[in-house]
Amino acid sequence: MAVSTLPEAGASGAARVTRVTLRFPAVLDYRPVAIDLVSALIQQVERADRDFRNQMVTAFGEAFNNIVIHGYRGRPDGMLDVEAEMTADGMTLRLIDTGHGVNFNDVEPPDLDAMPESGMGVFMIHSLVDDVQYRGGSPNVLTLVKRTTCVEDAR
Amino acid sequence: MKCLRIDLANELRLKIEGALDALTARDVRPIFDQVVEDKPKRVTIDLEALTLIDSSGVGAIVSLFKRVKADGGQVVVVHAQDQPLAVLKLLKLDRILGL
Repeated sequence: MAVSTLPEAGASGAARVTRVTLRFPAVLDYRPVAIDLVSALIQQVERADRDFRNQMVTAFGEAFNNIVIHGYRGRPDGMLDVEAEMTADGMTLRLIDTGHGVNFNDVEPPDLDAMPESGMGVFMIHSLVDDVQYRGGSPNVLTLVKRTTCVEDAR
Repeated sequence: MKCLRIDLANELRLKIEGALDALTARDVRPIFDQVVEDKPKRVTIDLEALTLIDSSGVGAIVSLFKRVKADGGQVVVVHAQDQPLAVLKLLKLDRILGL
């Protein structure tokens, strides 16, 4: 794990950004520790409340699942790098892998009235964070951006 | 994750503790399969001690709900809170599951 805390590039005032990089074996056994670490990093987001934490952790968990289960299908030696950036009012997570591409961008929303038993993960990710970007290639990069909402933001 | 089964006079109660996710859902499925085989009239899933759920965990509960209902039984969820409750609401399952 690497950690750095720097003034935010181009920001005025005292805005700071904390950057942390994590690396996990891309297997489900590492899901609990990955979730716990991301949850701990959210403490660096000053204005994050419980809803923010729950939503970011849930979205990250679904992304982790998809990359491990689908991206690295048949590849137990895969690795997943996570770059996290925290400011006082938001968090960006970049999940970087070298597995098969996973379609995080363009997925039909599930028919929730039919109570599906699978295929809900990507829908959940898009519902829970403010921005989702996916660039397939070598490596694949999934970016999740979530901002806190506060009175200052609404003005 | 722990899943405790309690057979009561008027219902079968399942208490799930910890995280029900892609890693642990596979452990709970044999317990759910046995519940379905027993054809209970009413199943109550107590999530008071559930701290985290993901789409795989939701899928396991929905699968149990559908199979018990197909045999004429009923499944309700009680005491969901925090992250699990938020996920069930996001997937519009809160009302269907009696929350």
